[in-house]
Amino acid sequence: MNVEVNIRDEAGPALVRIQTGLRNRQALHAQIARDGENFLKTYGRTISAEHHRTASRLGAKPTNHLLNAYQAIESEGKPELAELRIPRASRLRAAFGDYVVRPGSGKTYLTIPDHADVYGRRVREFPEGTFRFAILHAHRVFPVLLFAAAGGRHKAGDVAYWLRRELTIQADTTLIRFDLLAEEARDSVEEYIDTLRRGGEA
Amino acid sequence: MPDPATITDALRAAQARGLLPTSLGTAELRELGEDVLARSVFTARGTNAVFVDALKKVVDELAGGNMDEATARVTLMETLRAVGYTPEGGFPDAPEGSVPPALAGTLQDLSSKRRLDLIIQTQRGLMVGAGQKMRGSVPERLRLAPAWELVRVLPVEVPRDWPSRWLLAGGRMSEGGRMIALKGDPLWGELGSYQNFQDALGVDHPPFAFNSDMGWDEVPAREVRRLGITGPDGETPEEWLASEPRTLTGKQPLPIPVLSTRDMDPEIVRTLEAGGAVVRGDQATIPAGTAELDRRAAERDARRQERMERAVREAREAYERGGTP
Repeated sequence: MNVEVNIRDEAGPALVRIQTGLRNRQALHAQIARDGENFLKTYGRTISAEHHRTASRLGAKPTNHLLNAYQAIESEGKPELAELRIPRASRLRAAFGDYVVRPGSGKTYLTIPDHADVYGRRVREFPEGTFRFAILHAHRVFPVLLFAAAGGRHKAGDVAYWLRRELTIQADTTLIRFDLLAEEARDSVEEYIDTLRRGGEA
Repeated sequence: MPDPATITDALRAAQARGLLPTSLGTAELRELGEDVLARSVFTARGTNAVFVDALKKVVDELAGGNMDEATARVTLMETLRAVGYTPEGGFPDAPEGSVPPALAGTLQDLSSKRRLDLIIQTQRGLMVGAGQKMRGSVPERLRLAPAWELVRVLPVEVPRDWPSRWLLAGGRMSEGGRMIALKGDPLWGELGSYQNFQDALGVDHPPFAFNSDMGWDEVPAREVRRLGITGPDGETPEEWLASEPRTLTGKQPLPIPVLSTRDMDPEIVRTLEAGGAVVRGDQATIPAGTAELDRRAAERDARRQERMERAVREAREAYERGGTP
């Protein structure tokens, strides 16, 4: 009896490809970065459409500041890491913890808009004499800017801005879900490996 | 000076541009050609070099994520005051009669909130879009996601008819009315060409048109294959990207992609090889088989959908509890 044994290495090339792919960390990180960016942008687009509490309360047109911040998120796969770049001058900063906002150099107060006519706008955008400074006395004193004269939707004496020497912005963990980003990254890695298994290139 | 390690793609796009002080209106500026405009920071009827220089700096700061829009607006407004701009007289150094007087508060008034908002939002949108295009055109991203989907990023009361524009630009509707085309497909340029649409911005990336509120999502390779998305002449994504497509402006070729033959019909592979294409990779698969991989992909998709729904639901609950201002 003759027995012919043929040994064919079909898995070898695939294993080499997977090993090579797993060594190519930049490609792996690119997948994680891209998926993370897409996750945050899709999430941001949905939630920022609903987050207009101040604008709604004042009856003002939303500024879409939060949506714009999400849309400005960028990502990059580098050899050593997957990077997500979040705009720092935005409310998304609260995703990283509490922070204190203080007036810029040469200024005394932060201005917190409290009327639809000034929502999303800075005091300096209005002509001189639009507002007058006042102190409101309640359980403590509140410095404010009142409208000096009637116009638009306001009456003379309406509060336009609250003035604060500093403002603590509370951390908001719902802005960027780092826990879900980690889950997303796990799926990205699985997808990357599956792509290699299917015969895709890294 | 931004930290080079954290420089954004939007800022890279912004910094690559020069200044173009001009007394021309938007329609006249278009006559200059897309190439000049793509490389310039300009605003219609902005003749003053100081103002245009301030505009460039503000756009750089916005693009780098270091400035918010309200601060940008105030900065520009103060620059206009400092150089003596008035809606009626324009810039003091502008040749007499070169800029028609504007009614204060209207879009023609450079210092009006409406106009400054339009300038800032358009410039910011252009830089974010240019950065996204730049980022999506690197080889890894082309391989992972060879197509863009046109999506609305902001709901509006009276949206422009983008599906009709899509068809006019030569696009094909995908399943469920989705507007998807390969990266570098000339239709992106057609969509943003002001030869086709009066409100277009002359670019091949979002926002395509003034105040469009439209953007891009990247479409993963698997989804592109499932939907049968092809190039303008029916090319597969791999064939299309291998052809180094140029955008409408014809100035920015996409990077040379890595061509993969994964899941490709062997007949197509033979055709590619016969056509002289360099085909890398092979058809080897490991014994796990594609059925298991398909199952894993479906489970992954389901997990991702559930994750997004959970995130949105929890954000909504937190917002209703007052956790988010």
